[in-house]
Amino acid sequence: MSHAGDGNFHLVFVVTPEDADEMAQAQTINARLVHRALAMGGTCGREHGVGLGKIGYLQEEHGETLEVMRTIKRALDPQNLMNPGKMIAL
Amino acid sequence: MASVLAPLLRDRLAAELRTLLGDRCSTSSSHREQHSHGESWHPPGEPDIVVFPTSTDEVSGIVAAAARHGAPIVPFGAGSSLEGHVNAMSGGVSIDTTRMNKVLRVSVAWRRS
Repeated sequence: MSHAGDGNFHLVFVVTPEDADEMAQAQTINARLVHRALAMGGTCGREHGVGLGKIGYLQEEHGETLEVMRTIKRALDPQNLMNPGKMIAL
Repeated sequence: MASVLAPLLRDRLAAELRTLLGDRCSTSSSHREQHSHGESWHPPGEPDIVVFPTSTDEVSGIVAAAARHGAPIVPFGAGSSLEGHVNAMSGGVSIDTTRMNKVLRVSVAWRRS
């Protein structure tokens, strides 16, 4: 599934959520997919954004720029109350 | 993951938000469950309180009250996130924006292509 013409590639995994092995395999494929996109100059999130699932890939995607984002986040939200644990890992 | 709010603080915050919003502040289990997830596989996180503001001033009041009590705030629109954005993993207040449904301004001059 994709709207690849505008640069968005989606992969839908048909898995049994209760099956830990299947979920682990899906996670492995997902990680490969993200790493491949990043290696090609792409992004892990695009139009669906970065929440719980992609937060771990932002360091790889943005490098030291992520620290700039953290600085902005801390300045605007010193108590880390605005949707903590999404997008920017403090 | 459990809420970061101690029960006493949660109850005080809920009382304050009820004063502000009346019955547009809910701690019912059905509202909390509904606001614990979007449409993705990620683990759900139930907010302690769900609020339904209708104005920017009300949102400001909610955020100020939450900050005073150290409560996380999580925005909630249609609940269509595929990334777990709306899951309240640390509890707190889910701010449901579905009743803020009026077009207040159309800024054509600022339009981006």
